[in-house]
Amino acid sequence: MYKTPLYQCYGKAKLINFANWELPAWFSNAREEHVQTRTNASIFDVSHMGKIVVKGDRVGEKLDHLTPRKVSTLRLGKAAYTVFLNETGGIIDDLIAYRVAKDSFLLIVNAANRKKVVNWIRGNLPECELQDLTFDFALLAVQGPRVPEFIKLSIDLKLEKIKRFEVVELEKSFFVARTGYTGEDGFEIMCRADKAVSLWNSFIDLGVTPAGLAARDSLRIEAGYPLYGHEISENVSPLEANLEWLVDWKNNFVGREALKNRSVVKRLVGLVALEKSPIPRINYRLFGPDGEEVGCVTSGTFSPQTAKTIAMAYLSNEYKGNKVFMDIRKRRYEFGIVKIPFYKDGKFLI
Amino acid sequence: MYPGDRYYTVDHEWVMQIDNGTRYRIGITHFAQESLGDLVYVELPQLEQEFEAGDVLATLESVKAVADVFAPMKCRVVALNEEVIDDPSKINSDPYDEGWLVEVESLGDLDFSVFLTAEKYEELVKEEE
Repeated sequence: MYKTPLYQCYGKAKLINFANWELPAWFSNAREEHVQTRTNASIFDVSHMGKIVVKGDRVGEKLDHLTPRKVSTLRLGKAAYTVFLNETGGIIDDLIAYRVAKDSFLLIVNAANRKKVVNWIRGNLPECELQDLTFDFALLAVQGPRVPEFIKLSIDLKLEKIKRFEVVELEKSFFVARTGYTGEDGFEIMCRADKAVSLWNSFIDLGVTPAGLAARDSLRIEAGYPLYGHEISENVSPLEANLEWLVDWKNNFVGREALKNRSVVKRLVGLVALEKSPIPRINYRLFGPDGEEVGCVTSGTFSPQTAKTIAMAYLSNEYKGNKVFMDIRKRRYEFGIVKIPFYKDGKFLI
Repeated sequence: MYPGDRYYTVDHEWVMQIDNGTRYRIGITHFAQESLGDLVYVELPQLEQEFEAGDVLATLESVKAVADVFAPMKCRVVALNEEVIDDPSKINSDPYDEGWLVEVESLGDLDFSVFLTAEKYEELVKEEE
């Protein structure tokens, strides 16, 4: 298994294998780490994520060919969430593309898809230079409403001025972006591996709570963010996954024709348990009131501040009800259908 | 960490005799609660329900994991700890006392050879760690 440059900072954390990386599931208590992120500030080691730099003349226009929304229109220092599609319009991976120089983009991709994405870009854009920095760099996510005051103290006063989806290269090979995967304000910091431990410790010393993958998962579910292998995959199109906002039909991208002709038969929805329920897990089956099967769960969790059990799920477009029934072990549980997200801009919508 | 007043199983449960007869209280060990993490859902059996040794008696869930608790003997359920249903974190904070799960009446002869003493159980945990 791979270890990140921050492995020595894990202490007594419970470690798990995630995409062949040994990472903390939680440091002391997943619920507390979740609540700290929502109310204060926490720090995640996300160094396992793929860090790919693509360079070359007019590289933005070339990447436009691989992403349904144009990235060439991003100005220097801007970032955008997007996806790569295969020829059938299925999602190869989701990513954030950061324009770090006129002719250079930093792409942060899923750890599990890193090799696949590297091959996909190399195969489609052979004229571009590609560097996989995954093992030379660390990536830290500092997330929570109080992060702006901590980042001022820990790194630089000016950073508070960076807006959402902006990135600066503060010094060579030290990038700070105002992005995240928790639904909170926050920053993601990419630095050389040898600088990671002291950076991590500077936040811990300020009282920022270290948080693991369990909290990261429950936070992203509340915020309605998809996770590859759950809400999105090569078999799902962005039109099904609530990601139609990523599709610019005027852009000529791989998968465009297939996407245009592909029928949309399911939709991604939110579910809230109407009674005390076990945690919904991927592939749990969903039924309508007459016992007809209408969909399946992609992710679920317990939302600690609302004390509600929530899930994301695909439902057949034909199903018009406002409730579904979920089979868990020996019993059937009732869930209300809601819009995603469950949490936005500091407020719970459930 | 592993009180000496009860038996343990290889499935990381504890079994404590609570009268001089056939009544036993069942819970999970400190090691089990720590590996599962912060529990958020507890499913207990029905009162009077009967189980063979090895049947699934209860199910515990943390955000990351689902774990079954197995019946350590042929038994009938005679009491449930409703408080852990309302607040599963009691199992994490106090697995041996407030965090007990069920009480059962043993049915038939008990095979004590399947149980471990606190010392033996601690050795098992050290191996697993």
